[in-house]
Amino acid sequence: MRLSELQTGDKAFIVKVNGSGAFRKRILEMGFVRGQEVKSILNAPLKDPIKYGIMDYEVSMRRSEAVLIEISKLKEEALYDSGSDEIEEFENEPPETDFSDPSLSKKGKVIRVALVGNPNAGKTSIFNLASGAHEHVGNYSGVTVDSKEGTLRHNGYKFILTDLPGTYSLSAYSPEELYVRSFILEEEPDVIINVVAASALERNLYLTTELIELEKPMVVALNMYDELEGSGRSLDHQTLSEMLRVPIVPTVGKKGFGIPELLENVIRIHESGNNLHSVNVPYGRVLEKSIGIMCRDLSVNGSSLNMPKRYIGIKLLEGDKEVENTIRKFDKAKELLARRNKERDYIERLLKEDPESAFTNARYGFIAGALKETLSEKTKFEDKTAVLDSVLTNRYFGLPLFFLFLWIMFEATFRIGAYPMEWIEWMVDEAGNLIRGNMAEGPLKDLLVDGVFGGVGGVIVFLPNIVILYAFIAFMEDSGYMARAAFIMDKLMHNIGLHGKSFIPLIMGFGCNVPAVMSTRTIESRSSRMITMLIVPFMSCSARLPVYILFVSAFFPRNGSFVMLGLYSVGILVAILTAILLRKRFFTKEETPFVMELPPYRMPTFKSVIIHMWERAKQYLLKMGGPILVASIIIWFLGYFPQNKERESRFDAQAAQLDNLALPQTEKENLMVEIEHARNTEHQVNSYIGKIGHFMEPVMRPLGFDWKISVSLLSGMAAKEIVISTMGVLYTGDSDDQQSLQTRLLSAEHPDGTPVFSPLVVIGFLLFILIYFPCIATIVAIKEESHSWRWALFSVIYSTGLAWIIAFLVYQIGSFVS
Amino acid sequence: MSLQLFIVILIGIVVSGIVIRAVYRFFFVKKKSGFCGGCKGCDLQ
Repeated sequence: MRLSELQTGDKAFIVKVNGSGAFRKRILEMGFVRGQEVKSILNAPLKDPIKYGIMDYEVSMRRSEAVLIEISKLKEEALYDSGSDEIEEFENEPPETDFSDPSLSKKGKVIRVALVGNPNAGKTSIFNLASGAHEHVGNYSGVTVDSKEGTLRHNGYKFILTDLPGTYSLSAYSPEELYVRSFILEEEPDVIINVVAASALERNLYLTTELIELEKPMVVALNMYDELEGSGRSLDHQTLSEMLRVPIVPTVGKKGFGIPELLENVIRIHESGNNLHSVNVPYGRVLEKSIGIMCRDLSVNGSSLNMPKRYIGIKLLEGDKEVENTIRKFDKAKELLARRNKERDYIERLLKEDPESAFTNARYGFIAGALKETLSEKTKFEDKTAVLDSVLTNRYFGLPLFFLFLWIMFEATFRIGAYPMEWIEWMVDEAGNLIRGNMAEGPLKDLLVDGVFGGVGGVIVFLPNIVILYAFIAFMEDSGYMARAAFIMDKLMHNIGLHGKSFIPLIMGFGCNVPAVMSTRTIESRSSRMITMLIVPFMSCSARLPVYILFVSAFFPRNGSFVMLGLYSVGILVAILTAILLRKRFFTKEETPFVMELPPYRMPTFKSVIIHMWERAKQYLLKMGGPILVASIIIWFLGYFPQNKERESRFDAQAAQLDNLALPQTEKENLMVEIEHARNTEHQVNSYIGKIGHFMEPVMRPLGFDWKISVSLLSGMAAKEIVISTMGVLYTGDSDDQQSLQTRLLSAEHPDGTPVFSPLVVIGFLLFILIYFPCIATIVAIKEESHSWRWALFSVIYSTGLAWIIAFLVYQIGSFVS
Repeated sequence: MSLQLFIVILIGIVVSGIVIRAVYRFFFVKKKSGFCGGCKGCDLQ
């Protein structure tokens, strides 16, 4: 029987995992080993993928992958024919290692610590709490995509902490596995903190067994210990610690529980040096015999690798390509590999399973044995995750609820954000008027009023909207709904040649495209990763949000949320079509497996959401004080210079002439406004920015854009908020009072008196903003992640070309129809 | 030269410095690359 045939709610036992390569290895490491119980929990709304429960955690898998796993309803049948290789449990008597022995000599005051653990085990929470950093955390796998370093002091020691990406094992199949392994072996941290999620202990300890084999000083942080206790279980961690010969400290990373004890243990392990006797995971008679032979041959050949011989032997027998490639550099590599092949055949013949499965089974057997003696049975079965999932991933409600959530997010961003936005707008106007009214005329006054307040002030008003949007994204990430979104969307993503995992970077792209492009690293397949990173820029980021809000509230005030949702939907549609095109044209072959852990739902803490919002607000304000301010000043300089004295005196003469005319006061004032308007217009047209704009205008004129819009789009290449600050500088208006940019845009007119922003121009402009590349930082991120300028340039040319074509079609077809 | 123009010129010089530094860093300062994206280490690539 195949796993895909298992009915929802039914249980069975794993017999065998078929298939090959990374998928098989990952599945085995995630606990799909012989004899393990698996339960089919539910189907995604579009019937694929399926959620399974195994080893106290949940994982989603497509039917096409589940079909590769053989199961049986009877446990005996699952265990039948497994060879006679009984694992001798704990054959090595643990030596008396007292981790708290104070007599151990002090080695040094600086301890380099690496945080290693499964994805979503809470490494970054511990890292943040210990080092006082504010690195991004979330309740889904793969939040940390690069190593982060932080420092802290404790008991006179300086700790240099390195937070590493999450990994299920130390195999050579995925980038994060390779990276973590090479970091441990090459950087040689003094102590490893292995962060283990107590809620899914069995699977998490798999990595621990591999780390033990590396024989590095290690402390285990039993994180989320409150969840283990909440399920009515108890763990005798002292006994487990003695069995594994590694200190184990219960922690709750979010609340700081157990962190001081953890650091104390790190100090003790560091002080004790490398004299700790690590346990040898017992693999059973057959495997141990082969390991012994490999160790002997490695000793004879004088291996000088920075890994223990037993570890090298095991990895060679498992078929680890990275270790194999290293061995090939040895003089007697041929003999070694020939022996390895012989031993692999021997294992396969005797155990009737491939060595990879045999080692994985043995490790899980060792873990199961240890936990049998130390971990009590679950007594509380209150499963809020199952209840929530029955609604949120329901076949009928799943997708509508997801889109409802998105709509609420935009509605709140638009409507609730409007109130604080008005207050900030008022403050900016008042500050501008203060300078207008009290400062002597001159270039500095113009710079402050038109450049700084016109530019930066126009952008800063959108701070509340950005913060609200991020509150929703933080809720999605911290609650575990992000992984569900990927689960729900997998079938649709599959139709465009991607899988659900690609959906997480796309959702993150609503916040900022740069981390979204970086998060594509968690996608195992290069071609899927490439497609995902090239379509991320079409996900409308928060930098584009101020432009939408400005124009939507000015020109479509009644249906704001729907117009915004429409814009985001167009972005998603363009992304889908681009993905199909890329899959057909550039990245043709490949079927990507979808195996993703679904974390339990966790209520985000008020503090974590506030931290998310504060971090984002801080970044936004720093952007205001940095690139946006600089860009506004540059645009002002380009618009202010060159000054033409002749032209100025001509307009001054006109004004003086008007003053002497005997006309009614109101008529005089109207004529004066006209003269000032003409002065401004002529000055802008002849300024450097005017010349650049007019140079661009022939290209943008078919879209209905005037030169000021063209310049704004050009400056928006640096960052989208600069579009607004540029408009704030260019559309100065004719009023003596500081006016909101919205008012100035509504009153902007062509020389013939027609409005600059007709509905067609506004729609075309918003679509152009949506589609053309978001900012230089995103392009650099694409270059960094793809390791190719070619693809970064492709993104620029493709997105800008497409934006032009779509805006052109909107304006021309719209004009023709109306 | 008026004081206002003098200050504006000073601001212009500072801003030019910032832009030149940013351009230099963009083209000439090599960033430490992350762990993934180009290696051929895993067979999924």
